[in-house]
Amino acid sequence: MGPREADETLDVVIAGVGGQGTITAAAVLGRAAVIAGYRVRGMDNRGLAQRGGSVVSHVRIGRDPESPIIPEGAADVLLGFEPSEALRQAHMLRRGGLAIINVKPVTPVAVTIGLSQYPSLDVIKSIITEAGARVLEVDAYGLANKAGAPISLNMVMLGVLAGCVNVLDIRLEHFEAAIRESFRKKAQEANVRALRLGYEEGLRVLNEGLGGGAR
Amino acid sequence: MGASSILRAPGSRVLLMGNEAIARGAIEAGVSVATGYPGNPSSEIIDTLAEVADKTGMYVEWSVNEKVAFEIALAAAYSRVRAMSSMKHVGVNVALDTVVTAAYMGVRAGLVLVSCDDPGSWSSQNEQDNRILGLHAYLPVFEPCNPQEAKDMMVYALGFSERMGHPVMLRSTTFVSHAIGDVVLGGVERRVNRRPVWERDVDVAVFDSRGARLNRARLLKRWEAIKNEVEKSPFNKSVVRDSRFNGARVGLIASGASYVHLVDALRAAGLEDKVSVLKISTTNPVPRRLVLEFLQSVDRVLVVEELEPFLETHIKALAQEAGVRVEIRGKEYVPIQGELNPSKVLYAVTRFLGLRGIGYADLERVNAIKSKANKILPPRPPVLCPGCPYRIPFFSIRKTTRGKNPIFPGDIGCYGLGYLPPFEVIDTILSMGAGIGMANGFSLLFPDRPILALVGDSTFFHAAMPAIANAVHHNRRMTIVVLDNDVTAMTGDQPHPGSSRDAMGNPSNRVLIEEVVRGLGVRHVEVVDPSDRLASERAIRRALSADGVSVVVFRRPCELVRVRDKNKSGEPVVPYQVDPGKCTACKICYKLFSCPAITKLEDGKASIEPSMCTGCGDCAQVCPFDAIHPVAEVVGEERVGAS
Repeated sequence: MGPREADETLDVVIAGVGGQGTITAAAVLGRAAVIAGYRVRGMDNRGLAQRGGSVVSHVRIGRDPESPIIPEGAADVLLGFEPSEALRQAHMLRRGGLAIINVKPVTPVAVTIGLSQYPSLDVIKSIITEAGARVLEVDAYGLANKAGAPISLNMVMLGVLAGCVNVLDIRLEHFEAAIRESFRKKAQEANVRALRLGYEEGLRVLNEGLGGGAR
Repeated sequence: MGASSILRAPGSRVLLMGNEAIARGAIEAGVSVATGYPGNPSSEIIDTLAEVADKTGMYVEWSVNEKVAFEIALAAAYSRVRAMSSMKHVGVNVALDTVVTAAYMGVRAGLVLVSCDDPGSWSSQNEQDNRILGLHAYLPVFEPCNPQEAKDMMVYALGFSERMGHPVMLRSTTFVSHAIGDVVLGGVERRVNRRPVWERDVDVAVFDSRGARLNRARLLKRWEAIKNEVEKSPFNKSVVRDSRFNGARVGLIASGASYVHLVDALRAAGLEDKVSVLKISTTNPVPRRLVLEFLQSVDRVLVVEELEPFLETHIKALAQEAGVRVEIRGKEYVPIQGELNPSKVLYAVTRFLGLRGIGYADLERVNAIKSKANKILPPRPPVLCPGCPYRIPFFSIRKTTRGKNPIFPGDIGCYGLGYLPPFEVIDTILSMGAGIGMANGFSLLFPDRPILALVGDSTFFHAAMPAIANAVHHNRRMTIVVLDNDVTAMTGDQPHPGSSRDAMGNPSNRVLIEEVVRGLGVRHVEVVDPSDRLASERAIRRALSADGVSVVVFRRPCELVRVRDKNKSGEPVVPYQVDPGKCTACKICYKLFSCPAITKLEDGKASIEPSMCTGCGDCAQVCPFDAIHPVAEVVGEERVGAS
C-alpha cells in the first residue's frame, strides 16, 4: 500500500543543543506521520550531537519533497528547544511561519568563559518577528517537570506543535503511537504525559489566536 | 532511533535513517559477516546490526581499524560467505592497501564496502570524494539517493558483487546516511550462511609480481563484464523531454543525493516538464550506452554533482570519443566545495539556463536574517561533557607546561576538542595516529622543547602503536598522554580492543595499553586515575622530566557511560554545588576548568546547574577555596549561605 495522498507539505525545522532530544523529537514526528500514512523525508545533523553543540533536524511530511533538506526561508514551523539555537535557524522560516521557542537558555561555554555574550530573548524574538514570522514562547522545562520527567521537554515541544499547528491529518493518537514505538516501556508513560501537557498548551494558544495552520 | 524497526515484517512501511536502511539491506541480502570502524556518518550501520545480531545470527564486529575490518570481510568473501565492511570516507584510505588488491583478487561471495562520505566536513579532516577511490581501485560505485534506495541498492550490490565475482562500493553521504524517510521493507532473500569453504588457490590469493600480473589481466576482463552489467541497473533512470530553452534541448545529469535535490529544485521552479533528466546510480563505471543515448537527445548538459567533477570529466571524455557534439558543463555552475541542497542546485540550474528571478525564497530576506543573527549569536561548538575524565588531564597539562614552550601534536577523538580555549593543549590534528607520527618529527627538529602528544585509547590501538615503536627505536624524547575512557566515545561509545565487551555485548579480552607500551620498550609508564588532580599533575611533571619516550595513561570510563550505568543500577547521581559563602569569584572553575555545568552568576561567583552536573567531583578538586561540595553534604551540614 502506497503512502497517503496529501495536498500539501509541512516542513518543520527542529533546533536545539546536543542532548536536548531533538533527534528523538524528529523521529517521533516522522513516525507519527508514517503511522498516519504519509510519506516523510528529513535529516538529522547529528555528527557531534553528544557534545553539547548546536544540532538541527529537518522533517518534511506530505506531498512533494524528495530532498531531505528544507530550503532556506521555506519552513512552516521552527521548533526551538533553546532560544539562541532558534535564532541560529531563524532564516529557515518562511514569511508567516511559526517559531515555537522554549524560553530557557543553555549557556554555551563561549559565554561562560567570557568570549561572547548571550543575546536577550526580546532581541531574538524581534529578529524573528521583523522577518515576518510569528513567535510562541513555551516554558517547556516547566511543563516537562509537571509531567514528572524533566528530560521529556522534547515531547512537550512536539505536543505544542500538535496542538497549535495543523499537522496535516496527524492526530494526537498517531503521536502517542509513535512514542510507544520510540521509547522503552518504562519511559513511555512519562513521555506521553509530557506530549499531552504540551498539546493542551498548544490548544490553549491556538484558541487565543496565536498559533497557526500549515499554510 | 530504534533498531527494532529494521526487524519488522516484509512489506511494512517504517521510518528509517539511511544507515538503518543499509543495515536492513544487509539483512535482506543474507550478509553473514559485518565489520567496521566507527566514524561519522557511518557508525549507525554496525551499531544497528550489532544490536539485532542475536536475532539475525549475523556476526558483527567493531574492528581495531578499517584495514583489519575490511580484511575480515574479505576473508569471509573469499570463503564463500557474504560480507560487508562499513567506514567513513577517510576510513577507506586506511583500508585502501588491501582494497586495491581485493579488486585484483575477486571474490567468491558478495562483498560490499560501504563508504559514508562527509561533504562539507561536518566531522572530518577533509571532504574527499570516494567515487574517485572507487575508480582508482576498480570498484563499481553505487550511489543511493535516499533511505529506500540505500536499502534496495545494498541488496542489489551484494547480488551484483556475487554475480561478477568482484567487490563493490556502496557510496553514501551524510544526506543519505542521516536522512530519514519512510521505507518499505523487502523480504529476507537469503539466510545467514554458517558454512564457509576454504580453498587454497595461490594463483588468486598470492600477490607477488606473478600474481599481480596474472590477476590484473583477470581484473580487466571482469571489468568489461561489469561495464555491460551496469547498463542493466534498474536504479539508473533517463527521462527525456522535448522542449527547448532558447532553441536548445537541455539535459541535467545527477547522481546520489544530488538527484533528490535536483528533483525538488526543478519542481519549485516549474521546470520539471521542460528539461531532460538522467539519474545515474551506478556511478563507476559510468554507464556508457545510457549516457550516450541521453547525450544524443540534448544540446546542452549540466552535470549536477557534489564535490569533484567525477561524472563531468568522464562524460566529457565519452562525448569526445563518440564524436557527440554537446555542450557539457558542471563545476562552472555547481560548487566544488561543501554539501549541495535544493537551493544551491536551483541557483546553479537557473544560472545555467540564463533564467532570473526564480528561487525558493526571497534570498535577500534570508540573508538579512542570517546577518542580524550572526552579529549577536555566540558560537556553540561541541565541548567535553560534564564529568569528562579528560578535563583534569587537560587542566593539569596546561598548568605543568606553562612557560615551557611546549608543542602539542594531537589526534582524533573527543579529546580533539582540547585545541579550543580555554585548554589549547592540542596544536595539530591531521588523521588517525598522526599525532605521535608528527611527534617523532617535532622531537627531532625541536630537541629542547617539551613535546607532549595526546592520544585516545581507540586511536592508540587503531594507528599509534607503530609510531611509538619508531620513537623508542630512535630514542626520541617525548611525553605521550594516553586518554583511556574505555570506549570509542566521540562516535557513540563503541568498543575497541581495550574494552571488556565486544560489539555484540559478549565479554572479550582487554588489551592493556600500559602493557603494550612496555612491550614496545617504553621505560617510563604510569597509569593514573584522573579523579585525583594532584596525582595527575605530578604524573605529568615526572613524565616531562624523563628521558626518551614517557607515557602517562589516564584511565576513567566515559562519563556518559558511567551515568547510564548508574541510571540502570538505580545508583543516584549526586550533583555538586557551590557554597556562595566560600566562593571568591576567582573564576578558575568556569573560565579555566570550563565544565559546561558551571555557570557564572551576576556577581562573578560560580553556580552549578544540577540537571547538567554528573557528580564527578573534579571541579571540587580544582577550586582553591574548597567551595564546591556534593549537594547532600552542603544541605546536611546546613552551612550558612548555602542555597
